[in-house]
Amino acid sequence: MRTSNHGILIKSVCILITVLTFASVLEAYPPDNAAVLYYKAFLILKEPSEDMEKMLTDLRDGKIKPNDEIRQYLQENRHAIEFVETAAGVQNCDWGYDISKGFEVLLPELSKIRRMAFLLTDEAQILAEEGDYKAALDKCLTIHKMARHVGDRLLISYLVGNALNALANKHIGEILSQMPDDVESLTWLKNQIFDITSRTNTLKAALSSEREIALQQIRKENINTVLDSLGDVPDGMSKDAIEKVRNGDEEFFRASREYYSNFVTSVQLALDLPYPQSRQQLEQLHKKAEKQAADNPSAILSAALWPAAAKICTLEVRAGTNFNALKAAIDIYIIKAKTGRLPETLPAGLPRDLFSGKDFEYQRKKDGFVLRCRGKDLDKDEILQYRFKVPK
Amino acid sequence: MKPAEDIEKFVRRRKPHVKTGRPMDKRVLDDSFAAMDQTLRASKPRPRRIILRSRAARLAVAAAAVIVVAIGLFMANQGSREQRPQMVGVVKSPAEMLTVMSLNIAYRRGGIEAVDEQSNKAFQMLGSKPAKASIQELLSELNGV
Repeated sequence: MRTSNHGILIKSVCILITVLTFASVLEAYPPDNAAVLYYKAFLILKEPSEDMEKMLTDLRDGKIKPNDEIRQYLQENRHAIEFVETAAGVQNCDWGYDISKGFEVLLPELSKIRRMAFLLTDEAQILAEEGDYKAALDKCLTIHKMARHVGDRLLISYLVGNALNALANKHIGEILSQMPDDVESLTWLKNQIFDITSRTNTLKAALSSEREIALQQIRKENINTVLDSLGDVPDGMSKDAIEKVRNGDEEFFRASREYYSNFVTSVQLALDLPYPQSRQQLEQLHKKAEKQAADNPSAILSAALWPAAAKICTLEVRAGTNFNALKAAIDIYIIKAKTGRLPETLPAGLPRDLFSGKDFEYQRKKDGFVLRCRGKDLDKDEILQYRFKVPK
Repeated sequence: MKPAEDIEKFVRRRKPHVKTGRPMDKRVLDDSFAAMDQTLRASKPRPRRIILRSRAARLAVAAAAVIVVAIGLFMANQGSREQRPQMVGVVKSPAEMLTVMSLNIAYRRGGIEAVDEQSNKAFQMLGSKPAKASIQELLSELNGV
């Protein structure tokens, strides 16, 4: 009796151990770092031929409809797309940057992730064409998640992420323009977009990281590499300035680092101002640094290394306004889906135009509606407007 | 065996009917001069060729050429030093085209499209990747090793 009980106990323990072992193996996927899956996708991604590349571009530009060749190409890349979709759902993404390498950090993933995002928009277009709008929207949301993974640890990553968001928003707008009234899908989309924008990358974070990298690089031992990289920047330094930097002593580099750090702090403070003042302040800061570079050698590297901050500020405001226009449009589509017609006026409490800080100007059209900004995009020197169609 | 011995052997074996001696030498020499005169008449003599017939002149020309090349190299070196700020930015390898700084500069030049273009060029230089890499395919390749 006792032996029999021991036997049952041993068997139970063995079964439990086996179950736990297999459970842990199964739970190991997906990994907690999305980058692992992205890299897998990049490894098996089949690059398109020149003809296919052109065809895909035409599809994205709306010049052609999806055809069998495009479907075949996407089918060949289905494993890469699956990896990317799984990766986008993972919380963390560490690309393995060695930040100590400064400006020499390699970023091969940025281009590949853009390529994958294009594939997802191609798939979204096919799904929308087939009438599966929710799945099509989901593909675009995957691009937004990828943009968050690209991150704001480096300024260039932030800019690429921004471009991915713009790409996804453009295609979401196009899908909404074809989608029949569907309150459930629209409400789901609204919640997803709010979730994405609550965790979006920020320019301020990117600038902080960029400052850390630059401060490591503004040193005598690193400066030749930096100057060599900057060599053919059209609006770079004069030959005289380059000589001054090359021959700079330790005190010169210390003063240059201090100037650069203060400069970035001023830029970050300017970003908190409303758009027109912010942009004006950033332009003045850049001009001041350029002017001072003539008399104050410690300003030379700030003037040369710092990207056009005013333009980048506009990019962030443009991206935020783009998201807000989409959110406002989804609310309008929901009203249309519920009531069967577009509202007469813009509903209260919708997200605003960030160029002016005011509500969008709403205008009904024969085939849809337009959300127009009230403040000017000072880089493009125009008032932006977002056009949304409703299916006939 | 030396070439001269070869020739003697050849002449002895193949041309036993030819008798050598002073008259034969003179005839061969006259024929050679006639052929040379004919050649010189056919090709118009140029001043440069005439000048180069003199050994001293040849030396002078060679010295001048050396000086011209030296001056040229010196000036090219000076020029490359002066143009360094413009020249050093030339990207050499695909990896260098994908650094933070390189992509930052591309973005400054032409926005996200320029970043795409530069990255695509870098990947083209690196070569294409396999379209598929299933475990079965990899195993079958390994078995073939």
